[in-house]
Formats: sequence, C-alpha cells, structure tokens
Amino acid sequence: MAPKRSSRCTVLAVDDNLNTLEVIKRNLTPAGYEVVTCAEVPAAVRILEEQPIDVLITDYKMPRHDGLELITHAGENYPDLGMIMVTGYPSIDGAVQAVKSGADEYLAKPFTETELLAAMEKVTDKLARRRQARAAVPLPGDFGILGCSQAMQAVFRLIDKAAAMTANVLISGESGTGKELVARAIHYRGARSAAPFVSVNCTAIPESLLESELFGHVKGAFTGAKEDRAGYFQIADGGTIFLDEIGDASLNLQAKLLRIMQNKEFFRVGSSQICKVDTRIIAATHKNLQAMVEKGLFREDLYYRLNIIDIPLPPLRERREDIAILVNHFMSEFCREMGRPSITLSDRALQALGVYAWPGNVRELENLMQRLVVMVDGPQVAVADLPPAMRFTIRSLPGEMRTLSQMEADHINAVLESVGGNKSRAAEILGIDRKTLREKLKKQTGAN
Amino acid sequence: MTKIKVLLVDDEPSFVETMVKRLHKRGLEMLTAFGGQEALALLDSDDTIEVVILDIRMPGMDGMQTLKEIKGRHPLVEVIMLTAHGTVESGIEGMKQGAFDYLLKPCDIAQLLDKVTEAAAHRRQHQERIYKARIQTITLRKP
Repeated sequence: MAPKRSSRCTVLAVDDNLNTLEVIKRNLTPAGYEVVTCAEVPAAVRILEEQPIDVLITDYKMPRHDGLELITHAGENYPDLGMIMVTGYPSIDGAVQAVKSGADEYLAKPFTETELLAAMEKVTDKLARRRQARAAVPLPGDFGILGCSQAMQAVFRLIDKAAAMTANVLISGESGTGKELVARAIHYRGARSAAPFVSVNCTAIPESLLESELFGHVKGAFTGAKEDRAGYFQIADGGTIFLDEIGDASLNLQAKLLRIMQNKEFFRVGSSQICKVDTRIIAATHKNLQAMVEKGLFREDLYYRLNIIDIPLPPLRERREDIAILVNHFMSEFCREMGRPSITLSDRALQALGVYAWPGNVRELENLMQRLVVMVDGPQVAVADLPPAMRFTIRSLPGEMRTLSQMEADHINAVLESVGGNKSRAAEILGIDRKTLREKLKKQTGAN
Repeated sequence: MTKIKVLLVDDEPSFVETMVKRLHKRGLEMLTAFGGQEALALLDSDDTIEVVILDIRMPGMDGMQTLKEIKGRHPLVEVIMLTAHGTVESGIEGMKQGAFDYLLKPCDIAQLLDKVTEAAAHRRQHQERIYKARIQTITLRKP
C-alpha cells in the first residue's frame, strides 16, 4: 500500500459507472487523498465551482457531455488543477485529444491500484512544481531593476532603506520608469515578503467600484452584490498594497484612505462593522502631488502620511549610461523567449538610442527591443531598423560640425517628434516652459 | 499572407519526394531532412521555418528525441508527428513533449494540410502575443 500523504489533496472523480468511482475511492482514500465523486459533467462543474479541488479524474465517454468537454472547461477555468482522463475505449486519437485538451495523464480501464497511484503521483508532482513556479518571488538581492548610473544607485539605497522599515512609501516618476518594480522590490526584501503583495491601479477601476474593490462589500450592499467579498486591503492583510496612480484618486477616496492609514480600520461597503487590517501602503504617481496639494486637488494630510519615504525615479533620459545595459538585457531576454539566436545593435544604432529622448522611459525601450527581435531578420540591428523618431536623432551625432542653434533646432524637433508633436510634453522634457518652446519654434520657422 | 515554410523530416526518400510534391502543389514552401540531426541543423540556420512534420521511427536520433531537441532550442516551431507505428503511449509522450498534433500514416493530404495551416496560425498568434506582451517581471540582479 502507498504511504499516506502528509498534506491533504482533494480529488474529484467523475464517471457514470458507479463501480469505477468506488474503485477510485477505495484505492485513493487509504493513500491519504480525499475523494469526492459524481456521475455526470454538470455536477462536476458545480463541485469545481464550489470547493477547492486539486486533481480531477474523469471518464471519457459519458452520456450528454463527455470527459473531454469537462477537461477543456476545467483547464480554461482552473489553471492549478491536475487532470487525469480514464477510458474503457483507449485509442491514439482519444489519448492525443485528451492531452491536447489539458489532461496530464491518460489511463485505460481497467487500471490497477499501482497504475492509478503512479498517475496520481505524477500529477501531484507536476502540480507542486507548477504552484512553486507561480509562487516564485524575486530572490533576495534582486531588484528587478537594472542600472549602474549614480541615479539608480541612489534608488537602490532607498529601496534597501524602505524594505527595512514599515513606513508608507511614495514612489514618483514618469510612466514607464518602473514604479511597480520598485514597490515589489521593497515588499519582497522586507519582513512582509511571505504575505501578499496586491497591486491596484487607481485609474483602472471605475470610481463607482473602487470603494468596494478596495474595502470589500457585504451581501446585498448594492445590486449585484450576491455574496460577501473581501477587498484588496483585506487580501493584503499582513502584506503590502500598492496603489498606483494615487494622484487620480478622488477626494472621497482620499478621505477613506486617510482613515485606514490613521486607524488601520475601515468599513466594508454596506456594513457598519469595523474591520481591522495591518496592510503597508506603497503609493505611486506620475503627477506632482505637492503641486496638487497646493491647488487643493490632493489632501495635504494624506500626502504627508504617504510621503514618509519618498523615492523619486529618474527618467531614462537622465540616466543614459544605463541604456546599453538595458538594451543588452532586453535583447537577450526576448531572443531567448523567441528561441532565436541573439542579435546585437550596430554602433550607430546604439548611439541613436543614446541620444533619443525616451518619453516612454524603460517601458518604451523594452517594447522597442521586443519589436526589433521580432522584425529584424539578420544578426544586427541597423539605424534603418529603428523607428523614424529615433533615426532622426542620428543627425545630432558627433562628427558633424554644426552651429549651436542648428543643434538646438534639431534636438527640439527630435523631442517633438518623439512625443508625437505634444508641445507641453516636449517642453517638459526639454526643461523649458511652453511659451519658450513656442518662441524657439517661431524663430526656427523665421530662419528657414 | 506569406507562404508557410514547412520542414518534412523522414528517412524514407520516396515518401519525402511524394509528400513534398503534393504539399508544394498546395502552396506550402517545403524543406526536407532525412534525419533528426539534419533537421536540427536546418532549424538552427533558418528561423523562418514555422512547422515541422516529423516521423517517429528513424535511424540515429529518433522522432521523439528530435522533438525534445526542437522544442528546447526553438520553442515556437510547431511540430506535427506523423507515424506509421502509432501507439497510445507515444501519442501521449509526443503531446506531452509539446507536439502540435500526432497523425497516423497513411494520412489524408487535406487533413495534413489543415493541420499544417492550424499549426502555422498558432505559431503566428503566439509570436504576435510575445510581440505585444509586456514582460511583467524582470529578474536581473543589481550590477
């Protein structure tokens, strides 16, 4: 007899032949498996919805719905489920279809206790590996962020500092600078790493749903609230909640966030009962919160509570020395993922990337590398393979003797082109106000 | 739409010749190899091959071993196993190793053509997804 399992594994066995169900139960229960049985597919679908199942064992041929339909349904809806197909009519086509639909093992009836236990062992091993892979967290020492520049070294020091404390953190930086990666690094390097990290984008959830998503609701709180539901703060209890784009939170939500920060308590929507949580808050924004406070758009008390540790992330144009490292990293990652031999950038292409404004920051560079790995056939990326906005910057490469005003005009045009003609954005990148930019453009037109 | 580039791997020259003629006539761009090693060398040097039709019983490196190597080195290439000696066990093994499908010889040419088209579409979709997807986590150590 097989040794008893140390952790409980629940098996759902589905077969219209009650004798087979009996055999499965008799073989698996002594080995430590908990076995639930049913005789048809609709009942199995209900059980899968209602209770956590680790492994599904299903017969192939059943009246009305067959086992293949069940396997396909379960595979699509429960990615963590192990599946075994059993059949009294084994065939190559049936076996191929079963595995193609998601079955991990295929057993022909009648099977012995040893065969069944061996199949279960294989499936549970595979399941454990799958779950382990999914739960894998960055290793200590991994920041998930790359850079050798002074600016990034300062960020790494702040991450270390924030990870050692439990105070709230505010990460500020333009889109694509890696704010969520920094938040994850702080969480996984800190004492809360074993508890959940929950990421919420305040702009991705409609205002009307945000409160119930964050704090949860009770059954009947509003139309459609069919059951009690925990909010993100509760899910992240003991861990960290990452509130991205906090600058977009309404004043109403800001008031509720302040309450939870002050008292570590909140009400679920539709409930008058106080809930207590211990959730660390890391917030991020691409907006200037201090300016918003001055304009009355962001609560000053919330700003100071969030801003205990302030981590400003530099835009990529302010850490150009990191571009080559990032290019190499993304290139090799994508080539490996695509299963193609590695490719490199020509010196001039790399130079062009070095002077480009990168309004979309690291994310823009990452997307470009992904595109180049797919699009470029040869072993090397040339300037001609780059998007027009980047090719343009090649004009300002060293070697050509030009006047300062020519260089300025070229640079302004390159930045404008890279942001799709958005003058406010271009002025921000150039470090001048919109009016100055307008004047410079006017001067250019006059000179031409 | 570009032509689907297919590599047919089988140690039987007469079978290869007939299949290449028939599939070429139906619009596929065909390449051939008479063994696993030769197939791998071709795949290593040509990353535009989208689908491999692979025999299982071959001298030297057999089809199952070749399949493992192909999926290890070129995970996006879709492989259709085609064999005259099919068994339930090898069908399961092939699918578990990542084959797109497992067919038996003699195979209806229309069915094979459908499978090749499906496999190529699957590969192109996969490639498109990778192209669009943004890597969620990067796990590089601090330099």
